[in-house]
Amino acid sequence: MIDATNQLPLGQARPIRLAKPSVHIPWRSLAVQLLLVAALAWPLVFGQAGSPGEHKSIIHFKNGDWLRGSLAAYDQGAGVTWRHSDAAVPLRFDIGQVTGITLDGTAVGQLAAGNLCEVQLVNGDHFRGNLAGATEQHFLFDTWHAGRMQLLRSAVRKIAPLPKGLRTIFRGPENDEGWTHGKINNETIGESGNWRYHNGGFHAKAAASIARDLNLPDRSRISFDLEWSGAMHLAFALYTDSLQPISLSTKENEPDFGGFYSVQVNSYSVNLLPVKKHEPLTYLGQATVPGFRNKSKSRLEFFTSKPQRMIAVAIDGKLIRKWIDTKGFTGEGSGVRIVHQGRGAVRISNLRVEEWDGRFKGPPTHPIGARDDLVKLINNDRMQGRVAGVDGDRLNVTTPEGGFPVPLDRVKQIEPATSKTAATVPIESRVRAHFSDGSRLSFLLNRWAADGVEAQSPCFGSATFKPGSIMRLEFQAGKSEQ
Amino acid sequence: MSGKPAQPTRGFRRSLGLAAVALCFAQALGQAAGRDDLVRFLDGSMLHGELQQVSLGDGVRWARTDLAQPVDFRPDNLAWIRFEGARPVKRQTEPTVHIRFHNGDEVLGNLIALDGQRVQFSTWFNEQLSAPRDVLQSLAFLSPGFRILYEGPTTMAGWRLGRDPKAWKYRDGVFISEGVGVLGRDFGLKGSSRIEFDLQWNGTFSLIVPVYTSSLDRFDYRSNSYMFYISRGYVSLQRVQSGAGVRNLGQGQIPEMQTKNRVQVEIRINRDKAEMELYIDRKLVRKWRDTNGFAATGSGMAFFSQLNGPIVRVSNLRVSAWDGHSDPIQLAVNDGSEDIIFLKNRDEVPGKLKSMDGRTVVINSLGADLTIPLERITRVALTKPQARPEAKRPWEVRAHFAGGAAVSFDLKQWEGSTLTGRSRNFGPVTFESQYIRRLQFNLGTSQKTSETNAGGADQLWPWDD
Repeated sequence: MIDATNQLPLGQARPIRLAKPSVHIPWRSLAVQLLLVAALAWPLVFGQAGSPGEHKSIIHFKNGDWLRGSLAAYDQGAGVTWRHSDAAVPLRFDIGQVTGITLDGTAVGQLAAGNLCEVQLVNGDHFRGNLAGATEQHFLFDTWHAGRMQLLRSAVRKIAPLPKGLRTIFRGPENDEGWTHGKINNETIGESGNWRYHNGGFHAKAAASIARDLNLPDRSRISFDLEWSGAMHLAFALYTDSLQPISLSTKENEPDFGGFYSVQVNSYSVNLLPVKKHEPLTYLGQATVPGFRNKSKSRLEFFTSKPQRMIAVAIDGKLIRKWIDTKGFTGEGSGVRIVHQGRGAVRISNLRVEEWDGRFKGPPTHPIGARDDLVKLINNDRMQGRVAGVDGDRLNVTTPEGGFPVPLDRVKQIEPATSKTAATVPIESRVRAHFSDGSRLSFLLNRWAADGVEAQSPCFGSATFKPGSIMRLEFQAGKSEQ
Repeated sequence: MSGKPAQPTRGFRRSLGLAAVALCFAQALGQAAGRDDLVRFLDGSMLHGELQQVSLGDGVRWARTDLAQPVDFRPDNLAWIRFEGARPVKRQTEPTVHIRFHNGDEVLGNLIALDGQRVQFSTWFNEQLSAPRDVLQSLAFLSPGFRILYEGPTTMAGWRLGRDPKAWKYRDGVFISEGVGVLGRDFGLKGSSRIEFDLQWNGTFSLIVPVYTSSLDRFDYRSNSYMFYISRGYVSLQRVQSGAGVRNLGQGQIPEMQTKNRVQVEIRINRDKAEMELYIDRKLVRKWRDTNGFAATGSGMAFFSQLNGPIVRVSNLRVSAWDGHSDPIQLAVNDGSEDIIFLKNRDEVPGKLKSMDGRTVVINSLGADLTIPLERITRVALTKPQARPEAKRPWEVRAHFAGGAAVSFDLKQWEGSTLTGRSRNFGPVTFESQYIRRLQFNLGTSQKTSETNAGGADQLWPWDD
């Protein structure tokens, strides 16, 4: 076990070629000439079919079938038009059997400075955008993937303004450049391998280590999507100065390394272990995560505050454990190392490393169906009334006591009046899009073309998304969840 | 491929005239509508559907109900096509020898003669075939009682399901368990036998394989049988005897399974000696002997998946009668400079094999010619010739037949249900498509692609390693 003791829980597109028929025929010389002509002509015929990197997308079908290629087009009448490097003409699939399309989208656009908020919708969708205003019926957000969006007020569950001035240190991955693949030498782990980058995520099956010095600040928030199959054993070394894995069972024999925290995540618990050379290993405590047993995907967040000697872990938005290291802050570096212990396959995506203001967000508590908006302030005060609008960086809130302009940096979160039935797209035509920044939006997909993805939803009306912003499309999304 | 009558040729491009005829031997294959064949690509991707046509010019034409129009795939990245419902080959006589060639081809047949230049043999698809001697890798003589009792699966028919009929399902030559349940079949096991299958799993699984059991649709400690308990890394054997209870006969460790999710399992049962052996990936894991004598009284076997959640997949199941003594169908790869004859008494005779016929083999060993009766021999391994680089041929395919044979050839024509081509080993060949279970393409690289439907795209490990 790496970053843990042995006894402890973890601490082508091919160039187009003509298939040359080798056929015995009486007119051989003519055939040879024709073959040559055909061989020269085929690349022209297939010219559109295969530039490198174009065929990393995958279309998935209900019966488990899947095919690599690239999404050429979509419209409701013709279905999915799919390019495959070995087919001369695109394939056109009716969408009835399609469950999803994994796209090779990696573009993450930048938003101009504004009132950046995390937005959560009643249907579970979420995205980040700049809160630009509010009308009688809508909240207005500027997004990087679809420009200005008008969100139906009753469909918005939570708007959490993000503190201004906090740096986003890393967002990705978009490749493995800048990361160090570590060599694992541990007999108990067995065959070691490498993390591999694919479609916006790092994947591992055999034991593998990948690390990067991210210059972690004194207060940091590291968040990512974790998917796994089978058993799951991962160790995250935080505030490490070593980009190579440390075998905890033989740590005294390892090259000198500075102290770090090992957040050990497995299929049923999360544990925190401060690791220092020449010091005994003592866990700070374990938090059981019974929900992991029935899941294969979660969003994890690690919050760290050096001044408070505190590390906390949240899973799917819920804080599950906060540790205070009474002996002082162990982390002596500023890097992160992710070690997969070789049990099951895992994927880490939508990794975001940010400065943190030391404040935890909370899940919405305002009941669905409430008639008033609820505004929670960072000092735990609450305002119940109506968000009348946004004026610059101030939120105008109307309450029975009058109207109040509230600086957005004093707002912890807005929980608008909602309706459970608001803004649902019929499941048969529902497409759920997963964006490369981790956002998720459900809609009716009207058309996919190179110049834009046209969608509509009772929640946001019509919108045109940038095709490169979407990493995955789920068709008839949520059917299996019912 | 279904054995339906050949349809008239449709794929010719008439407008291109004779020249196009030269380019395209396209043939409609005359298959039943709604077939569930499976094409798999070298990258692991796969599509169910129907093979409509094979044309050396256009490629492989594939149709699906959700495809607006059939699509032609070039063969460059095809791994294989699996045909559902292939029929077992018809044999005039029981085979006596398993012949393997250096290029990976293998046939079950009967040896006619071998000399310094050529080997002659008969098979189910040709009564007299001849191949250059240097393409021959090995001959394994089948034990006298050798008989294939079952080879599949190809359908659920003939199998009995336990209380939960959804616990096991059949798909693309694979039994898939997604829940707790039993699947069993009576093979008429009488004497000694060998049971071989590929086992694939995800997560922590537990599979019980009762053998020589009469309890085919339930787990029953009252039946007399032996039960192999297979889990990730371990195997144990229990004797179950009505009235006498259960006795553990011991455990074996399979550490290789900790880092894999697929192995080949072979169980050999010597009924007379009450001995059982379990091999994983052709390596002996454990041998058991029941000192009380052979206690099982049934004639079938079953698969009992014990856990909900993990997916267990069983494929390439072969059950055969065995004489219990010889080392059956153990193929020998010879990297040495001399031929080797393996005798039944486990002696080995190295030398230069001079000739063989239906009764004797002559080998020059240490300067002297030895004549050995064929009945004393289990295997012959011939020296490997120096590899010659050979150009890739886009239409060189290998047909895998129901029953285990595999023959590669340059596909020349596929007309109706008849394939014709030329084998590197033994010249012109003709096959009926109805016997072909799998047609392999790109022989050098497609070996790495799983032979069965390995499940949907693995989102977490979308590579083939």
